[in-house]
Amino acid sequence: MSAEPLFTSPDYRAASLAIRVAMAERRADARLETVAADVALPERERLDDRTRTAVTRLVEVTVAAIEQDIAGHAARLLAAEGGDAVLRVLTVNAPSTLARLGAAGLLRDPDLIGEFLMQARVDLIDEALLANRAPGAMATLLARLTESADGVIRQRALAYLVADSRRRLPGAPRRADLSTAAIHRLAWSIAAVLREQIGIEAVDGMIDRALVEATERSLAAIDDSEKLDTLATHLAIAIDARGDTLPILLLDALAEARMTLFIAIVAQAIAVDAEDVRALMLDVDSDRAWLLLRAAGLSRDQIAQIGWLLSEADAMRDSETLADAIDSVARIEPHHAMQAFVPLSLHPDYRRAIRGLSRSVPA
Amino acid sequence: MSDDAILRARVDGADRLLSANAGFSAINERAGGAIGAVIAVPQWAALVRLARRLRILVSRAVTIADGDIDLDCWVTATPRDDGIQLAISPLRERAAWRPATLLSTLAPVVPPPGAEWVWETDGELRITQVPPGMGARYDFDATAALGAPLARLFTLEPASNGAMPLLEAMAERRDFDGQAATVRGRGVSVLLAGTVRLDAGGGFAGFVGGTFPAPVTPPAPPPAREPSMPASFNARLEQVLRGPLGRIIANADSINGGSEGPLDPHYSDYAADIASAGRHLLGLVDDLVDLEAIERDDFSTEADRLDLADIARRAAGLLAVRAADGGVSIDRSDLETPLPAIGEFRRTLQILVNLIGNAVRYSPRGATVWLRLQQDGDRAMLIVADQGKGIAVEDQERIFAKFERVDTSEAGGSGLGLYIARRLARAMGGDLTVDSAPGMGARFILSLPVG
Repeated sequence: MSAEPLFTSPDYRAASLAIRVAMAERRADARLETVAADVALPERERLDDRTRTAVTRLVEVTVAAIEQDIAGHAARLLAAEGGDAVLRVLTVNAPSTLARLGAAGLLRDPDLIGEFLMQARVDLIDEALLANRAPGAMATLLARLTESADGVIRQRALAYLVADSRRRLPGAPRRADLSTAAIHRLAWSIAAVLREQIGIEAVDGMIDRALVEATERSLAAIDDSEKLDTLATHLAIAIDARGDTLPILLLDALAEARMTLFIAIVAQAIAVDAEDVRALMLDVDSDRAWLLLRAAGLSRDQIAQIGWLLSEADAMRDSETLADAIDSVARIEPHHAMQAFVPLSLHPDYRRAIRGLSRSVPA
Repeated sequence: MSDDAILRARVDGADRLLSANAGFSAINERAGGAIGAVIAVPQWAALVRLARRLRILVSRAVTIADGDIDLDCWVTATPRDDGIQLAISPLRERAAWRPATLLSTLAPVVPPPGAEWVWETDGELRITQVPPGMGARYDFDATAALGAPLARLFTLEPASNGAMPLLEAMAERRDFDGQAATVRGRGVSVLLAGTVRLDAGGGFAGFVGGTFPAPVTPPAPPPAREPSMPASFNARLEQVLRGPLGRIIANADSINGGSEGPLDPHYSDYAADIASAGRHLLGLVDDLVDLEAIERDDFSTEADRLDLADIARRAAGLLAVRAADGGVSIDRSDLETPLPAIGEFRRTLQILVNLIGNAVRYSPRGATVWLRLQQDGDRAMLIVADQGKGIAVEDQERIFAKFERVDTSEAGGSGLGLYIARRLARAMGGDLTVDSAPGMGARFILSLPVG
């Protein structure tokens, strides 16, 4: 054996070169697969650029916010004992975990990304509803509700208004209003990425404990009752719109670009979970949205009016398909239409399990 | 909007035009339509079809191209027993390109930069956003302010000339700044600025506003504007054009610089052309604003003690890069000794930049531009001499006239530079003259009272 140091020996260099080439080949293959998948995607399934940007932005802002919470608190916990290198990772000004979460496939979770997509689309529809308003048209629904003679409506309208204003605060990046379960999944993954970034060698029990404590602390701060859709549901329950007031209220909510309230009112009217109603109202591939409005007892023209506003505001919808569907939907009696949605009143976990099974039908 | 301005038409159950008023027919016929045929403007025809199929009133903002203009209109199609009634309210006409303001309906509206805190209103100036924390700081109820008129939050105060920038901006659907106000509650003086939000039809849909601390009296003028600029045509022109042009130039430059990613060289050259055309326009805007200022009766200049040699050195320095690009050298050897004069520093510099810039532009590659100082009695003089093709005697007065150029075959320049330069020189008690002969180059002589 020669006395040549290992790292400069020709064998070692050749081996390391071969590894590098193999790695590059793998990366090129992976890239090719991504491109192929992208090209093969049918135009109908493709997100338009605005929606894609909105979803990406929402994911970025949300992950960065959770990361800042965890890293910031962990840094404070470690400030006394932690080394400089650890604190440098934790107190870096730019969020750093998103790319790693993506590479690990954690952002491929359909439930999680589906939630981001839904929220981004509601934001975009609200924006478009506002921009499409007829010149001189006034929106007074929330102003009316906050001055209602009914104290419960007044108080809930105010709570909803404040939360919705916070969502739209100009200049402030919008953070997604995720469910506790979704935030749990994200937060622990983010903590794991932070651990990895600190460096496996540097991580000791103290750092792990700090990351766990910081994550638990930010999870404990989540209050589902402050979520916008929860507040919208509370308001819808207080209003409890029935009969003739229902279509008026629905149109007013759209005129005021309050899609979350619109969804909550529909959900309340047909006693279905607001999350399911949102999924149906945003489903552009079928007539289920219109069928749902029919189940709520709306007339043909009322469905057409609401459908028109939504089709105009939702870039993924086409008014012509609404016109194609409207007459056949109107022919269905409301109680028949309602039957199509009976499964939605089953326990959500039970339905999720059924859906999960149907996704993986045994060969 | 008067009733006559609304274009009206009726169509039958098969979307064929039954009747139309003159305004409607004019546009429809230009697009190739006629009574008895389907409507020829595709966007209108689409809405008629949807109203017939949905059997409800449908309306939307539509932009149609009519000749050289784009017409933004609000179209309402109402189903009747015998067909559809169509009413089109033209909202505005514009040249067939999209001005930046329309973008605000598509892009998020950005609050004024640097604001201490931001607020937002709808089209009726009712507050739709206010940061919750500000209520505690300024002693008002932030929650109660939502949905309330803006006046609940701020007491607006007129400027000394009675102007209310916010209200004027609302009427004209544009951004504003420098609106003095006090925050109700604690009575703190602030300045408000706002970015306009437009609806799809280009109508006013509210402000995204910012609150800035009020300056200690006297109030500082807004930074980007000339002091004592009259609120007149060219000053407004400057406001209207400077922003969009600045953006065009900046975007074109960044495309040309490849900062958005690699680009076909042809396109990056186009971008460079766009940027340079934009700069040319920006120069023209500057000239027009100057023109208006110097043509006013009360135009006056400062009478400061100057060193003409120092100003000439600065002007030459400003043009050094352009001279190097053109292969022209500027001879500054005569600028060592100070030459005191009376005049306004900024205006003198402006004249010299213009003169030396012209000299560099009209000099052939390898030529020299000489700068020479002289004192003649009570006159301090700076001579800018070039080796260009010279100016015929009969043209020597013409070049000082408005919109004239030294060489009309040359592109670039607004034709205002020398006119403005001479007016400025005379306003400072001096003069600007030329002596030249074809083929001999030209000497421009700026004289000012000696200091």
